[in-house]
Amino acid sequence: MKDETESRTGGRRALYFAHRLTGLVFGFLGIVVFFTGVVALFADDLNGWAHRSDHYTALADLEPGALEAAHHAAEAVVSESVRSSFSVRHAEGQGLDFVFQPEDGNGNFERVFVDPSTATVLNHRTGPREEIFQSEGKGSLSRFFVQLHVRMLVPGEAGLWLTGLVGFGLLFLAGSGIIVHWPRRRNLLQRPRRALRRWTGDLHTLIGAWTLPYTVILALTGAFFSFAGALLIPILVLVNYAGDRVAMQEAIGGEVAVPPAEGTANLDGLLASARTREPELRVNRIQFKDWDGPNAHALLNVGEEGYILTNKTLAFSGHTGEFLEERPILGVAPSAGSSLVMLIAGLHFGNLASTFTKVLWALLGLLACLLGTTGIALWYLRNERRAPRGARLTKALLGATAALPLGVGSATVAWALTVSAESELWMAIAFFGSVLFGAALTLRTSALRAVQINTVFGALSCLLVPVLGASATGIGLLEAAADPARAPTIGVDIGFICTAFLLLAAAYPVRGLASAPATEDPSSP
Amino acid sequence: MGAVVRTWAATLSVPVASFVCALIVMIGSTQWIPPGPGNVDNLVFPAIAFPLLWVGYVLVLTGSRRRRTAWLIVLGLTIAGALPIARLAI
Repeated sequence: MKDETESRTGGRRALYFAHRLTGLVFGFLGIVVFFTGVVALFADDLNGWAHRSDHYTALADLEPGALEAAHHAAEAVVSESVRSSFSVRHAEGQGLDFVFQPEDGNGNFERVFVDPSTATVLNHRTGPREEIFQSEGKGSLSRFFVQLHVRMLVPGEAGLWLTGLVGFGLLFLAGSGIIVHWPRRRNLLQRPRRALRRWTGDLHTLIGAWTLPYTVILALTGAFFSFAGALLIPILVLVNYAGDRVAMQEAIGGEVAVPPAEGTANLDGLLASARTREPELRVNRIQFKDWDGPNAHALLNVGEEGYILTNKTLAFSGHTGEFLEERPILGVAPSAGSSLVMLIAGLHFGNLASTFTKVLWALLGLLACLLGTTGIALWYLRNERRAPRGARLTKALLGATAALPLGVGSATVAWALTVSAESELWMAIAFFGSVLFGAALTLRTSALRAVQINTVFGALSCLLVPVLGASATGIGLLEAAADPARAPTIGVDIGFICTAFLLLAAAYPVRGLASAPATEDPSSP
Repeated sequence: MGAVVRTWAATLSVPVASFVCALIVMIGSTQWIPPGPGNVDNLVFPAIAFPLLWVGYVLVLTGSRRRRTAWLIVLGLTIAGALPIARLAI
């Protein structure tokens, strides 16, 4: 049988080489981004789980008078210079989250958390924008995984560049993969052959063919989000608005024409008006602009929970509280561009159709990780004898990949043991320590054995999470299940327990593979 | 220059050159795509197209059997994309 590479000529051969090289460079990073992305899909659930002992009423469910009282309490502790422009939303486990911003956008921001049931100030932070948005203690659990996914914990825009390049690499892998291994009907239906190398190659093509649309969508939308923050928006501001970011925001946001009037609208009245106008939707966030000036208005972001395409903005007068206009989330009026951005956000964050798409996205994300893992395994199996030095690197990458569940489990355990401002550091040490351990294990044992050990350790760390989480959150699994307000948070405990059993179950096929012949069985068709 | 260095330089120059070309076309297209009723279409469409353009260029330049023709097409598109930027500068 001819070798796969020999049958390719000219451009396809070059593409095949580029596909393998890109796979080696971006494969592992891509797996990390996809795997942490699967965890980040459930960031809100993780945050709710971490804060399950501190339950506050959400903005959309506030009793009449609660928002006005909470605003008065927050306003009393902030300086006068930031009172005219502010926003409020529900922060899980932290109450109502008021952010007051300086008029010119420069200078110190002030962030106040208020208990809506008693109108007491729980926390007050002052400082630059990036400083007041740092999470502390319990909030660092979800923040860590989101930051790991978005910027691989690399600070500043360098992290966005890195994940943007990974997105580009994955997009190239998908594009070149389509050309090199054009998916045929048999690729979609063929059962992987038994011999280890053939099994890995067949599985790689099979998963690649089935998950192709998902991988392309996630790589494209991920590259868009990363490059938008690091490169595209700064360039677009420079070219189209002479570097004036505020001018761009004004052009995109436009002016809200507020009829001249006296007085200040009641905040609870605005909330009630939005509920009457859109009874099916929930108020997620309110922005108050020029609140003590002639152009005072409030922008209420409403949408159905988990259905991002239903999100929109309702504008109300800040004087009379009358409804002024309805807008999309981006832009001054509905347009193809604003709809496309919302669709891209939904496709990337998996919140197009509530929990169903989230779970589907998570499963497809795990399959994408398996696609990357089989790609690295192919590299290893091809070079095991021909180029032992290269094989050692890919073997270590295989071990590190198999240690990712252990990384997530141990980072969560580290958070549970050290709930404090330094939690993120300990979580990073636990995560990267696990990945290094996984890679180092391959120096002492075979690749398959290392994968098996890492998988079992990953399962054990996941089993520890509900136990240690109970002491960190102050409420155990059974206690939370008995309380209707906290019951949804047990999904996280169940998720970790199910993951642990799935990992244990996966360790057995890995063991079986070790006994499979490394080369093709001559009797196979 | 050794053959290995030449090969690696050629391999790495493709994504870098494609990045620059895609960026120029992206910036140029913000000048001719209409902003639409939401005043955002001229910013959103080029920004979304940027990663696709970049990958498309790399695929064409790497996979094409007529390498020179592929480079000429990419350069032609880049020059066409640069014209609105030049007009903006003038």
